[in-house]
Amino acid sequence: MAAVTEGASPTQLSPEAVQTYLQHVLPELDDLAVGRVWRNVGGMSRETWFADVSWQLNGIRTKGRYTIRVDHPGGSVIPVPLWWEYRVLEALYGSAVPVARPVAYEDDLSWIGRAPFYVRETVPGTASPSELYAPGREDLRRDIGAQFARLLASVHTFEWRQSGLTDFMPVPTNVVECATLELRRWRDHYRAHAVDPQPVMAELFSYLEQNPPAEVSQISLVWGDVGVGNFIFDQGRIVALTDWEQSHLGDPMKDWASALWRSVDALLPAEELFEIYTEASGIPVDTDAIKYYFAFYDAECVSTSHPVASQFLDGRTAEATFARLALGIPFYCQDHAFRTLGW
Amino acid sequence: MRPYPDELLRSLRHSMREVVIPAIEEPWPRYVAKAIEKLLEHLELRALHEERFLSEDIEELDELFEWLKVSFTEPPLASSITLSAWCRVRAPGDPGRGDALRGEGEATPQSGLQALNEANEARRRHLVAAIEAMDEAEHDDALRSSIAECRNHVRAYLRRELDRDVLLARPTFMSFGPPVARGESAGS
Repeated sequence: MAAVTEGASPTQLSPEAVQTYLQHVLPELDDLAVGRVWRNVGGMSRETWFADVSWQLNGIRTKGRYTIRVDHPGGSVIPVPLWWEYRVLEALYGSAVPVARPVAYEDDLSWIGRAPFYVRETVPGTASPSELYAPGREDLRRDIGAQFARLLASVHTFEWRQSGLTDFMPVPTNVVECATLELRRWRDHYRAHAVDPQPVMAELFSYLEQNPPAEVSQISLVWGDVGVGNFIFDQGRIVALTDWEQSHLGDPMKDWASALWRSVDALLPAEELFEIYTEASGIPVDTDAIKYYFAFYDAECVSTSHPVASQFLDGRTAEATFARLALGIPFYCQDHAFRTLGW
Repeated sequence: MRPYPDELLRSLRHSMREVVIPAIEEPWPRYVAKAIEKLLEHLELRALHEERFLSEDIEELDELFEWLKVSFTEPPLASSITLSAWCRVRAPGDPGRGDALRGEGEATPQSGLQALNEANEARRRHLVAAIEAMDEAEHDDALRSSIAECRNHVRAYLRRELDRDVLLARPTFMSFGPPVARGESAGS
């Protein structure tokens, strides 16, 4: 087990420490060496790091990359432990839902100076929206949009009952709970972390509590944080779905709200996306429910932004990115929710 | 003292945008630098508008509390125990509380802006309590339509409050849509 590099900031990962850990969990890779370790841009819920790796295979030096997910030094900003998304990857890997292969979950702080963390294989490709929106890529956008709709159908028809997900995911027992089980988790998280009184949020949560969808076609695995930027594509194909930390069991229409919130209709018009999805899944699209879940997703995002703000305000972090998120997310989302509801 | 803070902020932002950010190649430091540039723009707007917006907001909240108090003390809402309880709590702007700008239990304000922020926060807390009281009262079917009218009034105020907040926070917004449609690229 490697000691953390002397003088390393807890906000950095030491390549030497990462190398020792990867040698430990990937003993099948001969002479494994870690080159560059760097942090991915964006993301609010957790830090994502990449490690470039090489190893010896049949006399040839082979290269690869691994992804490390770790909570912020000031702690988690979402009401879901890190192991949640790791176990979701374990449940999905090898199914019709493409995800990165989970490699190891670790609680021991001494390996890389941060814990818990987990390692997964990095799926080659990009999640960058700017790659999709570049001029002249209309055909790519349409293709990716259609693939996205079919993959969302795969998520929502995934057989979660036999997958191990119910070991840790609450199962709604009636239609109303498809919304309210998750809503209460986020409302409680918001109330526990709110940095100042926000009547907008009080009114929004009040509305969401009182108006859950009265009909749900089926209980599905809900991806949670869906849309452009949260899937990886490579050479015109979506090769992995990412960001499973907000996943749960509930109404599949919630994912459409998140997906549209994150602009999937800039790839393909919503009507075409819905048609492909329903054909692939057999699940009808309920636009009234989507409207409700727009506001729900906004409330969820605001609820993650308050722990971000509190880490900034109580001095656990002074990062400008936290300050930006603490301002940008809540007001954008509150405004979006109010406009969605016609307020 | 010239240059004023807003002038300095404009200069800092200009240098970040034109000189510093283009020279950064590492993805994470570049992302951080862009966040700084957006926060500087936000600070410029706050320097220009924050004090006036807070004053407007406080005035509107005081008017809203008066309106709600009248509504909650007339039939049929006067029958609600939770609404009556809210009415008995003296509103932060009530002249009977002494300093009309100071909320209950607050320290003596250190500056004009701090005083406004504290006064505003006390009022927002009072409005949250009103909304929670309406949530409780709404369980009584006989009160539902009257509560709905009150909520419309509250939402109209909240819309105006959000418009002010959004104007200040807009530089920090993120977008996942196409650059042309949303004015900037995702995650930028």
